[in-house]
Amino acid sequence: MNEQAFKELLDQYITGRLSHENQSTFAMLLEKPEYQAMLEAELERSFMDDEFEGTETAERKARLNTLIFEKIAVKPQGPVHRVHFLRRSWVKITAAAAILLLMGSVAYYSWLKPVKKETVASLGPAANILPGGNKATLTLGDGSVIVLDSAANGAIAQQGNSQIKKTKNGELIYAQTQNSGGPLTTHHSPLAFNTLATPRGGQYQLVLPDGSKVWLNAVSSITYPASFTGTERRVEITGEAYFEVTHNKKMPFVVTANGTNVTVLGTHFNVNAYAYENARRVTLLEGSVKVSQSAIGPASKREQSANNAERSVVLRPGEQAVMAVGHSPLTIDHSPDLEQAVAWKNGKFSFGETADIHSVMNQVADWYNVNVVYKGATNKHISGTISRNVNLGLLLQLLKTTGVADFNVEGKTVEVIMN
Amino acid sequence: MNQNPSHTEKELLIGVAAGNEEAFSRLVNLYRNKVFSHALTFVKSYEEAEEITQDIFVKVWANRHRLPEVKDFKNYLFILGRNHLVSAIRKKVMDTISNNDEEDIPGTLLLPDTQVEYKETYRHLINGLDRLPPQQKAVFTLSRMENLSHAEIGERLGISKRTVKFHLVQALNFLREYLRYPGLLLIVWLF
Repeated sequence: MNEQAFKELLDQYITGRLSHENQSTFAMLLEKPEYQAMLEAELERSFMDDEFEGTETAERKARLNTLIFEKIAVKPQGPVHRVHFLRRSWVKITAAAAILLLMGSVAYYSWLKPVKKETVASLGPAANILPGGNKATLTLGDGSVIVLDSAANGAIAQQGNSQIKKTKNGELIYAQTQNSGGPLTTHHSPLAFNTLATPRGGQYQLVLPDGSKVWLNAVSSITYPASFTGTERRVEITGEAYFEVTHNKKMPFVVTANGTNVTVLGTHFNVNAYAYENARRVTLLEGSVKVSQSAIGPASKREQSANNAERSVVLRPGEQAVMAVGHSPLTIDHSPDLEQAVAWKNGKFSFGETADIHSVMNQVADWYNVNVVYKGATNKHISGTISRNVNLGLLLQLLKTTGVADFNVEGKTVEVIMN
Repeated sequence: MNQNPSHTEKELLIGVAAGNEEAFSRLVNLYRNKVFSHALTFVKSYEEAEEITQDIFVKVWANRHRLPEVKDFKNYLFILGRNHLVSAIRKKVMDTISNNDEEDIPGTLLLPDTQVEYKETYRHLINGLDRLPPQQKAVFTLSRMENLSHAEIGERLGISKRTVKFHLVQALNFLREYLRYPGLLLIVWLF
């Protein structure tokens, strides 16, 4: 192939007009030193001629400066333009709610990770704040504690008839070892309660002795017997957990969360009982659950009898039981955003249409293990979906694009500046 | 090509060599866009073009003691990025072959079949197209919608093939930048 023909291929490549056939040819040629030399010559010529120099946007200028100056640890001189990321066209819009719809794919946005340094709000340090991961502690029946992120994989403990194994995927498995037969087993109490707890920035998965699966969100815990005996399978949680309960008609599965009982036979559901949320929510994905509320607070007898029907509800798949804080009755949301309710389990943050900045930042604080302070007030709402795998800088950058708030990160503290 | 660096540029280089950050900042301002535009054109990935640009300028700073001896700074910049560029191009070509059903994204997006799948992106792309200068938009549309060759487009618009290539590259680079923002899928609802 002569030089002219090669240049033609190169032109097709840069203008996105390379046919499949020519692509293979081009790839083959690029493996050969003589064509690499031709490519280099063309690269040099076009660079020296500024052949493709385009217009530089202010946004790009700021980003590139940040990338460069961050690396060499000196500050760019002169005024750094404060550029609102994609906000120009909306500045005049006083949106009551900004909807952030990011459709998951982190890979697609991963190039956003370097964060602008700005004179007013700085997100710089946030790029180093990594999202949470598989971290938890396990408290055994005798009170001993195992830190799971540092424990080696494999069998880590024996509790009664259950052998506890840790897998590399951040999962704890209780395997029944019936007939283990050793003399030691008789010394174990059949009701050794274990507690799996996640810190801020932690999540963990658990397979209970009956095969039921539990996903534990950050700052959450679950207490359960090392093996289920008796007439029901009872566990207690704080925070948020998603359950896939194995079917067992004879032994209903009961989840207690801060005064709310969820009784199930076998099903998939999510319980959100974070203390900072304005309501506890049980979302049912599959099967059937009964949600009941223990009496909370001194309601009058009349009220209690009036609300009796609402103290217990049966959910159908796709429904959500909502227990607002205070003395509110138990209500059913017939069309909750299911994807949103279990987004965390699928590695995403999802904020519903009613999520205010505080609710968003509570989740952020738990997952990134940061403190949040607020400056100003806003009644704007944010909704949308963002991966939980991104660093804090990128997350804040994306939140910033809603125009609801600006962020300033210092150390482990995120200042939210309402716009 | 052996341009003599201008007096000011030479002063800047000496300043940078002495560790003067302001001089470095001015030097970056002079060349940042040239380096980035060139890299984006050839590696066709915004992220990688950023990486390459960052890399080149970080090398300039790290090796600033060499600057007083540099005869042609622009060519020096090119050489600092050359290997990175070549390997990025080869990788890009290989990647495209391995995903051989995926053509250049904007091209694919204009096919009706994929419109539903990429509805949001498509709408955003159309918005992006509307922001192109008229000549770039015309060239891009003829190339992608009517599938005309560069020569045919040149004939139709009365411009040279080289100008067609320039407009196409500019349009693609603009769209690469425009489409990369999360705003691509960002909707504002008024309540």
